[in-house]
Amino acid sequence: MKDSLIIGGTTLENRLFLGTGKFSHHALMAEVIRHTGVQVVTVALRRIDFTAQEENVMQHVPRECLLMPNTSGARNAEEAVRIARIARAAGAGNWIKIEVISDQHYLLPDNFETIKATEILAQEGFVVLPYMNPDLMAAKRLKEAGAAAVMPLGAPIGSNRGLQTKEMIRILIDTIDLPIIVDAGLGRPSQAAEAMEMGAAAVLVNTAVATANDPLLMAVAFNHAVKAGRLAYLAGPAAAKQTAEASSPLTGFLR
Amino acid sequence: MNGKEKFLEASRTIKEYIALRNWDSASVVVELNSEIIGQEHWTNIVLRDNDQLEILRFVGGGSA
Repeated sequence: MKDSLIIGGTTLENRLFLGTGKFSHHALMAEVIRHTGVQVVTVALRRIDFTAQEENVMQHVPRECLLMPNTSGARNAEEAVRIARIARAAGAGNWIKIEVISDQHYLLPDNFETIKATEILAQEGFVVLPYMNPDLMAAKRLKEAGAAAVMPLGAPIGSNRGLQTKEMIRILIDTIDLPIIVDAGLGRPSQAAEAMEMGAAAVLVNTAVATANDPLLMAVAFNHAVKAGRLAYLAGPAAAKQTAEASSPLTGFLR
Repeated sequence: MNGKEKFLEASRTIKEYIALRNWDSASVVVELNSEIIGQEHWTNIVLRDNDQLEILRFVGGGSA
């Protein structure tokens, strides 16, 4: 069964998106991508530290991957726009994950500035995927501003606490006619499966995989969970009931 | 350069400045005085007094 996800005109088969940070080495990240068939990966843009000879992450990201640079470090719309333009100039393509964060304790996104940046970048031809706090009105504004998808958080970045915002995300899925990609906070495959069962279009994970005891095995587990959750969504889960309902016939008992 | 004051002993183009630091320029992006400078221009722009140079590259990252 073909079940593609189309974002910004690009057709994707794998609904697990991967962040490339926190891996013990770049080669491990590359191995994770190869084993899972992840197609969309995020990277960040930083000043070069010429005193440290670091490996170039881009030499390890498989060429067939679609890059989704983030605007991490941006504290307002203007900074996010600047980072996005630089990322495109660096050859990363036209996808951009907008992150505007000024709260350093919980790393919660500034929806207002994010909407402003989305509007500017969408007009400049970017495929804009904004990281956002799951608020229905903000998501509507993001859609109007030209977002290609919206990326609500499940829980604070790197917290591994799962779908704490479940009900708000459910409302976005129900209301907003854009792919809803759960970004941030997912710590376990079961939580990714839960998001996909609800109808999330994709999930993005990084910390949960990169900091697991065995990142490769955990990535494989997430990959299965995302696929299982998606299949369950397509299958249409059966209704929950307060009391039992036998699944064997209630006639012909041997008594 | 990258938020720090640097002194040049001789006149350098952007290309020379990066090459001097033994850095592979393949995936490097440069902003000079808040303007993105494509690699094709690195050889004909000579750095001047009080220029604000940002030299950036991609690193591993997911969120924040």
